[in-house]
Amino acid sequence: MHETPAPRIVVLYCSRGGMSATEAKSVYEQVSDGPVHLVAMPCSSKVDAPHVLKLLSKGADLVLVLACPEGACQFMVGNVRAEKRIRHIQQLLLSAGIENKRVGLVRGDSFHTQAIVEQVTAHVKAAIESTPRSLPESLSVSPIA
Amino acid sequence: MIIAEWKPIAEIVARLEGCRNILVAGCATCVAECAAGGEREVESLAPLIQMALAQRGYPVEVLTATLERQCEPEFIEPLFPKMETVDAVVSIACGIGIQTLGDRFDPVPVYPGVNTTSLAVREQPGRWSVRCEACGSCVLGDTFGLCPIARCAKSLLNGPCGGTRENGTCEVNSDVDCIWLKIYERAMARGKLEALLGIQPTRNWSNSRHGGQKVMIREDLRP
Repeated sequence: MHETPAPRIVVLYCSRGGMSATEAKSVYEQVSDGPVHLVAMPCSSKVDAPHVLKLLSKGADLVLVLACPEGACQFMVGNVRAEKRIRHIQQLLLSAGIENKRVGLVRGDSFHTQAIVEQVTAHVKAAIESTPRSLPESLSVSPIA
Repeated sequence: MIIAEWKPIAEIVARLEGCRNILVAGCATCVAECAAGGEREVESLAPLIQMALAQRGYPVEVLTATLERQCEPEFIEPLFPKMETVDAVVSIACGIGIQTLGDRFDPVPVYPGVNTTSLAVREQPGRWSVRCEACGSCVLGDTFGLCPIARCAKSLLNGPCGGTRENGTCEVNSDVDCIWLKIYERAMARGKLEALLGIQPTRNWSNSRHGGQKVMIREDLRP
């Protein structure tokens, strides 16, 4: 019987949101849906369309951004920009006929392990339920000039 | 700058079904400034095309390139060695760049990834506003540097239409100023209101976009 591969999950989180390396490791261990790649960013506003879309095209089933609450960004409006960019990416995916729930943003007062695990699980469920996975791994996008 | 906006991705992808190797080519000049065709947009469109085609059952390899200028033959030469492996090109440069690539790399099809719209200025981050229609007969000297051809909804040459809103915006589009009000204000500020009393004669549009392709020749620059 054909076995459905485990979803590949990428979590991009603001390093100023308070998640420690220990908590990141706990998230990695506690998310049971599939391998989680946690990537710390100096601010959630570092999220940009090419990065997220490339992650998806390289095989990620879900890209989730963890941002600080509105008004709590140490760079003033970084998390607001992140949210706008995620909305833009979702619109692009929709216009390409691709399930846009594969990209999401979550705001949190602080990034506690249990809350993150719950959010990841909920987003994985929403994304996977509506998306056939996964894209062929052999394909590539590469710059030539 | 020349401004453009992405075509619907479904429209782009529909032309690429069956291709195995695709090049997405951007331009780092005008269309990069208006966030439609620069490197960032190339690197966004390429994975979208790849995913959309894969989802339709057409796995494809997507190459990317952002040229300094796509409208000058010298600048597109670096692409030449790569074109042998490419089935199709999606260019997100302006219409000039798209045609320059198409001429150079014929018979490889070069499809537009953008709609080139106009000549504009960036007023604010994320907001571009048309300033020039390339009409071929500039009146900016008579209108205090503000173009009524591009910036008046009716391209009026002899003052406002009478539909200016109380807040000074256009009756056709409340998001933009009535340019004739702005012309009036600028004339008043310079103490030259009387300059607006003259009647602009009927305009000669023969040097505009009508009447077939225009060609400009400077004999002193020709080989």
